[in-house]
Amino acid sequence: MVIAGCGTEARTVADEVVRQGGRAVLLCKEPSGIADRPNGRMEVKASSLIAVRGAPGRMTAVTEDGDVECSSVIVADEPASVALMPWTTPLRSLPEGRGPRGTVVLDLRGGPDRRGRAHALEAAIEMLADGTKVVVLVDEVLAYGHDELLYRQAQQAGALFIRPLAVEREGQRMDVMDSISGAIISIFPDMVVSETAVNQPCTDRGSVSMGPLSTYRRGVLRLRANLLEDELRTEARAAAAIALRPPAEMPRPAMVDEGKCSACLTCVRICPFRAAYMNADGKARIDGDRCMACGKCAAACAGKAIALPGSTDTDLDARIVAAMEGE
Amino acid sequence: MIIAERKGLDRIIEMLDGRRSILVAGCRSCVSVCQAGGEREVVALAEALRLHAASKGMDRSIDTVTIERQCEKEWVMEIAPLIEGKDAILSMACGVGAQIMQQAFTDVQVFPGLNTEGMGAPEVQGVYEERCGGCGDCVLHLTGGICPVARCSKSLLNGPCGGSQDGRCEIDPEKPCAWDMIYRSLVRLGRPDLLEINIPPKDWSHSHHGGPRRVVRKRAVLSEEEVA
Amino acid sequence: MNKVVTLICSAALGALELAKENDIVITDTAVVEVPCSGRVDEATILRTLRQGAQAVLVVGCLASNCRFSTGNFEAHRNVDEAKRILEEIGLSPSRVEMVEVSSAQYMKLVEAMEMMADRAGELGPIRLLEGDP
Repeated sequence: MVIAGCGTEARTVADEVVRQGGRAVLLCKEPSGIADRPNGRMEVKASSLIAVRGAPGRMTAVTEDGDVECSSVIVADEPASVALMPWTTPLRSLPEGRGPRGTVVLDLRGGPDRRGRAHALEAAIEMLADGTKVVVLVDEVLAYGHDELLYRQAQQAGALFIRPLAVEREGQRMDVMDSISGAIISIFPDMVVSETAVNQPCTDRGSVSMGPLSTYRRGVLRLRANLLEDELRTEARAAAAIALRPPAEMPRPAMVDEGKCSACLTCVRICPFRAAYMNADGKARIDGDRCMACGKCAAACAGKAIALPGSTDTDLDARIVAAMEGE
Repeated sequence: MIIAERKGLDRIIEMLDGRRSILVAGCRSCVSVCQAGGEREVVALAEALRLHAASKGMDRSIDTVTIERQCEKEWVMEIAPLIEGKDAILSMACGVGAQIMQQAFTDVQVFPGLNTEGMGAPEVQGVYEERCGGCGDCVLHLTGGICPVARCSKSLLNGPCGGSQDGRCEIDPEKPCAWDMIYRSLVRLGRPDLLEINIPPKDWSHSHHGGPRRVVRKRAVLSEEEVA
Repeated sequence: MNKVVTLICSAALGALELAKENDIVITDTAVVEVPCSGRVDEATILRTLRQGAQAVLVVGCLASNCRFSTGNFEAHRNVDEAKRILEEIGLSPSRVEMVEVSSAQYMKLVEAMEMMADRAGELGPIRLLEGDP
């Protein structure tokens, strides 16, 4: 299986996987100090995880340097994804990094990594030179060397740095509570920009009853961060054990009757597993690798175009009538 | 798209008083997207009417159908067999669809199940906001893409009015001031100069105020020989 | 014929099993399993009442603990819609209710089912409301 991460967590899990009889591919951008295991049971790739495809037992980890086939993926080193505010633009989509006139809020909370932050600040400095007002939202300002220089330059160019306790959006207004003074600053941003602005976290942690270490993707597990040594050992052991289990059969996915689909986007918006998407013909389709057969889309579909095998309206009616007659 | 809202069921039941054999007809187009008259709402409404009839000991039969677009004659005529024996058609389409239904089926009265609320778009899932005033003389290029007819409560063409406070409308403070939005949009676009243009009074004869409008697309009109 | 129908999600079903293990007998209610409470739409609830049920209980997971992450939100919305419809057609909205339980909360589930059975008794069958045959 594939383990994404660089730190102690990732290495501990990788070792545990090997110890329990599996094979591990460790994805780490700067793998200094980690060596391939001589018996070929663990391989280290200097790359990072971009996306995950497939279902347990036949997954593909898409990395910067190509695909890796695996049975499951364990994520051991990823910053918590921050819920994006609506209408957040990715930095990379701005032409030549130029911002619009007016006020731009650059949201750097929850990441990105150092390189991404540097890129974002450089873009901010250019925008400021253009006359755009820039407000930068950051989690913390830990700056050494080159980072410190960039922050200083951005500040001198006129960027306003805020470390928010809370950010609320109401219509056009954004209220930011400064964590140091407690003051609330109201901004009317013309654009909210994020360096990553990735709205599709593939490894969001699932709710408690979805199973330990589970995420919204079957076959993808996620370790908790900041674990103490013995906690980490237990967590790694559990992760490896779960990942090495024979893959559970995926349930029969929901199916869309394209003739009845109005392309209203309801299913796309409400699927907890992001299994529903619009196909090339502009009709909804359910990805069988992601669908967990909960039936939410079948209930919510505006056109009654989605059926969940085993729980269609006819199935439910039959079961209800039978149960009422005491069978 | 067209946004619409279902009438209260009590109102619908009132309208259908005395009718015994009803066809509930939905539409797969706009009213499906704004969740007012699509198949889901048709099925739920039919169930509600049946339940109501049962509770009153009323003998009533309810049939359902959802039409691809209730404003297209061909699709409407496809359901002609379902009209047999019906004494009421409850149209769950917008006002346009309901009219086409009545035009097609002259013997059976059509009842509107929805109130049509204009042209709009989803703000988020489940929240549909009016966006276009249908004035027939669009000036969106002068207002940074914000419709002054639909989105300004007073439909001002050279706003804002004196009541604009904190970006809010004085008619309904829950709503943003359209001209505040227009200003910001034009600044964002780098065209604040457009604010200096005085938009002349609208020629409302291009809108409904000039009577029901008719658009002829010559390129599409078929000649007599072509019409099969 | 059972007066109450309970539509229960696969996760909360554990609570029912636990109730049986504790020798609690549940009468007068028909239990139907759904994969997730979010599968239940307002039409299904209304159809159930039309089939003769006097009350419908929808059982889902606790708010942020849905086994399918957010299915119970859909269920709540649809139960509320069913209640609104009942009110508009002159029937009591309390015939339909949603309850959230964890698979360990068997007492909470049993109490909810008993409460719906009581309501069904008080409100009576839908057909007889107006005294017509």
